[in-house]
Amino acid sequence: MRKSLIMWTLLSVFVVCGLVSLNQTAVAEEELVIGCSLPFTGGLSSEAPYFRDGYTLGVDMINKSGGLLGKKVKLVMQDDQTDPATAITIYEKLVTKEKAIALFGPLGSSVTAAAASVAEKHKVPIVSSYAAGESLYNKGYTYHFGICASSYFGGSYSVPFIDMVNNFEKWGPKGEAKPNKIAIIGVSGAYGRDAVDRCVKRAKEVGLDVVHQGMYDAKTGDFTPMLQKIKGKGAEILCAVSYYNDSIILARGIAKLKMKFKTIFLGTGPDLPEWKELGPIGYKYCSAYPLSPSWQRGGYPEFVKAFKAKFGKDPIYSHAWAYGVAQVLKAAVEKAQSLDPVKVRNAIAGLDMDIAWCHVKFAPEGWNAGYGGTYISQNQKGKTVGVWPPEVAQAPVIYPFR
Amino acid sequence: MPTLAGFIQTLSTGIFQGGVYAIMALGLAIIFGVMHIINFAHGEFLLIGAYLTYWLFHALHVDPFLSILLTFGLVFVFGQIIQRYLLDPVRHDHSFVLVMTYALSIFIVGLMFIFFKSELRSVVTVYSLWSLDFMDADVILNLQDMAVLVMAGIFFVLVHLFMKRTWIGKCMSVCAQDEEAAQLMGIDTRLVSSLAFGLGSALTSVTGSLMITSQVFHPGMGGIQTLKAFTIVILGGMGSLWGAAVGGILVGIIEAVGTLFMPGIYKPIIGFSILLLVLLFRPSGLFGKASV
Repeated sequence: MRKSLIMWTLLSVFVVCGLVSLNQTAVAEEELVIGCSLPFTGGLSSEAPYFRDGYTLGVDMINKSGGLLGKKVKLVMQDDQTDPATAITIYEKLVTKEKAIALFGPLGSSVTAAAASVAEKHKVPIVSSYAAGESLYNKGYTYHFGICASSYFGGSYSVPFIDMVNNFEKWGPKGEAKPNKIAIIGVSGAYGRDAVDRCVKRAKEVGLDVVHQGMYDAKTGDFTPMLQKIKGKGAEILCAVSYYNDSIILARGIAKLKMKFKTIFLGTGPDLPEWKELGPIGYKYCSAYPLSPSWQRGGYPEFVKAFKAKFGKDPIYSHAWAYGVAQVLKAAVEKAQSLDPVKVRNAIAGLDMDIAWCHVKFAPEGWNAGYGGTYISQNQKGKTVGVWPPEVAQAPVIYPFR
Repeated sequence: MPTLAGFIQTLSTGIFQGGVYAIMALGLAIIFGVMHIINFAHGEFLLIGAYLTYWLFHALHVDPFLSILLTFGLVFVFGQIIQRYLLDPVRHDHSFVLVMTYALSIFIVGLMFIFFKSELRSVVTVYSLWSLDFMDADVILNLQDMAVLVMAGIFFVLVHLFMKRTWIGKCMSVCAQDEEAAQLMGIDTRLVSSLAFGLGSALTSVTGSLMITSQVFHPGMGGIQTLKAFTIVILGGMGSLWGAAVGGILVGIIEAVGTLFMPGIYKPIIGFSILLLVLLFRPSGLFGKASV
């Protein structure tokens, strides 16, 4: 009786675990494997579903267009828990056991660096979609390519906000003094550190008074003490290099402490559909918008149509990001006319093409030198609206924040 | 150096947080005190409470404070079923119990991923931002946080009275002291264990219901809550109700105030530093080995 109960319990656990990891099922021998990990748990878990859907649609696109050199492709995806050590184990397994011919990147610069180290060791190309830390591209990896802006534009997803503030006279209310005291904070990790450094440097260059600079741990459920510290220093502007999870916590803390910032930038979050759960307290936040509102090249309309057909909703830029990774791999294999990893790697390095969210032309360090730049959007009553630079602005900035 | 207002604000944040921690640790203290088992799935019961509250709020528009009663009742029953059919059959082998609770935590997390996906979930009510402002609005006491602290206090008093004044509570105390003696006195220790696990789990789920009103949740955050509950219970003294309450408040305050003097990135280190220091210098905790 007791043994059977234990058996049933363990069986149930295995069934549930199996359901959770449907994407990890066995792969038919004739199919080519592309491996990847995503952070279904941990600090970046909120971003993972977008990239899962984007990668999946990208692989669908490859298969519908005849596969890679006529062979069907299977995507093997696992949870890296937003943890570099776990990512190393997963990517080792993907290359050695699953015999992946190419890899799609995980999320975040630290985890991507871990995955890239495995790819480098086994000489398998890896294309990442969400890793912008400068330090990732200074490690000398030759098999890693990131479709993010990265090294040259390091921190560019936040720096345009500093430029927007610096050009206050172009968008601010007439007669209103330009805000000057800025607090710059960022999520711990390679990207956060690099981007905060870049933002601080830029803020000082344009004469802003950086009253607070700091990093925080994304796993912390409450940022009240940190925000209290910033409040005490009289910051008028907040620039946070944040991911969705921490953006939500920050927004709640800011509302709770009734902080009177003039304008706030959060790296990711205010532009995402889930942000609406915050209600009105989520309005007026600025955010990075890495897809030009007018971008229609690189198969973007086809991507939107396929996405709507498969998922029944509109895509956001993260979906396009992930989808673009599959486009890069497909183009490289077609160019190389080979599945040999070295030849595919060399083909990727020489690409000069449009994908569904930007132009791609990789620098020798692997970052995307073809990327056009980041735009600033603002959440205006639940709607994401481009507000900076002026040439792409869809509406004026709503100012002040509070 | 932080201003006086900043310090008061941070202290109040720590106290509010500590009150929630206290109830979470209270559940663990009861389970450990009565059953002498380590429950690795403790944080996952907190997730159940949080997600039930989330679902009731968004699907049926049930106020989170009202949903606590329903959550408590459902998890009380669920906890008893778990104890009766999963833990009781292996209760004589502690390693089996450890494996079983670990498997249970994976099972619950898996279910949460299936039903709620990996997105962050939160509950924002119309009164979420109501507050009392002091010192020219430099100190803001959120009314919802205060209500959460009051609820935590009510639960502590109710549990205390239950343990001291009711026959079942006294039976739990006897079992905590000596299970064999309890059996010789005619106490159905299996029933008592089942009730204790149900009560401990239900209290933990209440913590989740209270926390989701001020924090965000995702299915992967149960593990860190389990560790935090262990830290508090060890700080307060394994199995001590007062230890859990005082330990919870202390950890909440130390975490909050600590981040005033060091970068926020080090906040997670604070809790584990407390754990290490207590294990090194006072392994029996603040309230010794006081029984439940």
